[in-house]
Amino acid sequence: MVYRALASPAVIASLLLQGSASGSPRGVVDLDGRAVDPLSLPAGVRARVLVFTTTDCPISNRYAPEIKRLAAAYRERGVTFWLVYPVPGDTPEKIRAHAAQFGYDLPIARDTAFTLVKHTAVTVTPEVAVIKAGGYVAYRGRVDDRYVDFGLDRPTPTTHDLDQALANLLAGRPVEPISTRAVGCMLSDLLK
Amino acid sequence: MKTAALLLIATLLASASPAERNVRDLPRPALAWGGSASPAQATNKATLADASPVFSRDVAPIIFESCTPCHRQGGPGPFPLSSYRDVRQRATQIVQVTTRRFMPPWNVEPGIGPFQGQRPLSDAELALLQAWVAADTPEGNPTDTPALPSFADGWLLGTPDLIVTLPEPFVLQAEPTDSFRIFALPIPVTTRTYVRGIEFHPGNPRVVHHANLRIDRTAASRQRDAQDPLPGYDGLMPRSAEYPDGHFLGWTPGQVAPLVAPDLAWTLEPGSDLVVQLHMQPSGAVESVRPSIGLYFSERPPVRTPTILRLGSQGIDIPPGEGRYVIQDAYTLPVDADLLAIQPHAHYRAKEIIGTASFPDGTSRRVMHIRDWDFRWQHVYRLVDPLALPKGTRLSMEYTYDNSPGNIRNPEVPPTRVLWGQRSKDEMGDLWFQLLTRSERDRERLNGEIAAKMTAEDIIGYETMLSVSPDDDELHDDVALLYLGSGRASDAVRHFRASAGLRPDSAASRYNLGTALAVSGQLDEAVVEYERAIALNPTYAVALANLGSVLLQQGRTKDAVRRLEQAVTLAPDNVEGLNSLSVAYAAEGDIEKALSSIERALRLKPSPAMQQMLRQRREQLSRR
Repeated sequence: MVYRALASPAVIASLLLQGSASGSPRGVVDLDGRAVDPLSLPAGVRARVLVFTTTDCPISNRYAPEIKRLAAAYRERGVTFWLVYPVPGDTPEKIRAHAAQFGYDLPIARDTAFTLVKHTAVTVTPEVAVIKAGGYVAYRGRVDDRYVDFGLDRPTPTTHDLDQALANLLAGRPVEPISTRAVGCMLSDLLK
Repeated sequence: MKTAALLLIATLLASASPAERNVRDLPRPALAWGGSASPAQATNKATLADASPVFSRDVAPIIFESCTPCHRQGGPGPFPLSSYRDVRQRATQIVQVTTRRFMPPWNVEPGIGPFQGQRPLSDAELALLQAWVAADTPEGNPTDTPALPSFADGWLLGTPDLIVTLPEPFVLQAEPTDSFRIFALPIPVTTRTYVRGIEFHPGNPRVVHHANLRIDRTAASRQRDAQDPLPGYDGLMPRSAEYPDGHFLGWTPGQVAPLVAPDLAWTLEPGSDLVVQLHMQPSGAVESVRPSIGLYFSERPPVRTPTILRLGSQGIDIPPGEGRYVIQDAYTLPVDADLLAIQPHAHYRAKEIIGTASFPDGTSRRVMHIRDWDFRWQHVYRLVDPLALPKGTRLSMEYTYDNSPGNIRNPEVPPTRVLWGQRSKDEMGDLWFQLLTRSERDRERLNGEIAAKMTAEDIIGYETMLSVSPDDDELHDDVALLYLGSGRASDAVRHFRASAGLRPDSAASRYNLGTALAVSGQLDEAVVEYERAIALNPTYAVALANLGSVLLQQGRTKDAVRRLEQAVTLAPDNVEGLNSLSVAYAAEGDIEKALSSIERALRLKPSPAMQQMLRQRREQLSRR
């Protein structure tokens, strides 16, 4: 089964349908190997942020403090942050150590079948996808504009894209832009 | 799963320039990559497969040579690139970062150098990597994969003669971006020692991005370190922390400076500190940092010593928004010399860095050129072969800065006026040349000239910093000492007076001011300041001695005797004080006491010149 990068809600709907046939997105598991479904939002959860990361991507790791800040800031507002580890080499053991080292206290999903990667169309780590009701992707891209390219980053970001997207979503305003280009460690080679 | 890969190829080809697009059609020999198979094997392979590069035969030699030295288990790179699997999983990214020339980290323009440890990829090598990714990263025949080079772990220069380690780890917080910390590490040698080189181990390569190393023969660095309860301190290195005997010390990932020839070793005096400034990039987690430095000794003293010439401007003053601000400096060598190494230094707003040698025959050569300066890669560039610079060669530098909002690295958004200063938010512009003269006489001549040139520039730097921080008493003290050393006593008086005004209760400030006044010939005012210093600290022996000497110059011999007696009672080993006291006694007509002071001074075994003077005076007095 090949998933394309998603462009339209119709495609997303068909994907979800396939996912729901087996109960949850294919191959998405927690650290104990139990199937989990970060795409369906329980009652009271207004949005979910999937933070795609790996244990060894330096740019991804440098975002840990900012991710934790945003997760804490939005927790009360019905937004939950999940860490998603798509790289097969990131074993549950490595992930536990990584989360402990960087002080993450967030739910964790493994996505080694790239189901969530393809559903959200993320291409690098760190990259985030904001999931709203129905499993739709409300925003995909960078956390902020600190990194412009490899070896080229701002001392402080000038736009806070994820924060802005969440604020707009919660306020019922249109999310704009709906996607941005994230800079980080590429996932494409793992798709092969 | 093939679909995704094909899409990827399409993307790559679409984004490639026409030249790159044809890469796969190039005849094989045009691709000059290292470690190729024997011609027989190559022919064999060519018949077995198409012309697309494969990992085992084509890609692995490049990666193992240029990437794996850092990207390996235990290396400074964040992930290993030691196998087909490692490389395939990062193939697109490898193409991206090598094409941008972010990796391997080498910012110098082609044609400059060659320098030691240089690892840039050629255009042909880049094209090969691109073609390999476009062909979906085939492995080829695994038996063709060259053996992974053995990377010695531990000390690459051999077992050090001495290892100095930070006694207690420094705890680096998870953020923000660049972080700096200075540590003073005592070097436990008890006799004068000669050093051929050092090897720096960052202790935590994930966060330590580069290290500036200096030697401080004074206690200044140690005192600053001790004032901060945590390991190390924030701030600046004192002036006394220097490159030893014209040798660059420093570390960037993947670089180990080789040992110098024994006859070029530098001298390490007992009681010196190794001063280490770490530039760290927080990882996102709290990290422990504990560097070690191995020192390699030479049995015998050096016979040749290099000289470091620093060109640059410390009067940098860039208006906000200025996109093209240029500084220039130049110096013409008065003697023949060999250029051994170059180190550029600037901060976040520097863009282009140019260093040029213009020879007496009218030709010239770029010795350094970086188009897109990156503050994070502060290499010392050591030439593979020293470059001969005949007497009359003009060394020059030109740096261009971008203080516009378009400069992504600009630490101030929106941009602000930026002045010269050593903090990373300030700006600097130095180009250091390590020169080796042909004789000791030439070296002394060169050293004398460039010391004066560099001091004059340092003074400009201090005045620049003081224009921003006029209430910094240490800056006033430092620049006053430079003025005093350059024979500009009235400027020294001005700054010591400012410093004393900022520290009205400091006896040392009054003493400094008194001394500058005395040197500038303002004796009455000097007496007032020394009296003030002594009022603040009644056992201030050097102040009493200097006051006595000034009083003697004024002809107030009775007062001089009283002050000098106090001085040598407090500090019985003060030869100059005893000498002045003998003069004062003689002026008072007390020859016996004068002679006795001279005997006391001689028993202290002063310098030969002082001994000779004391003996002459003893002879004169004895004749009376």
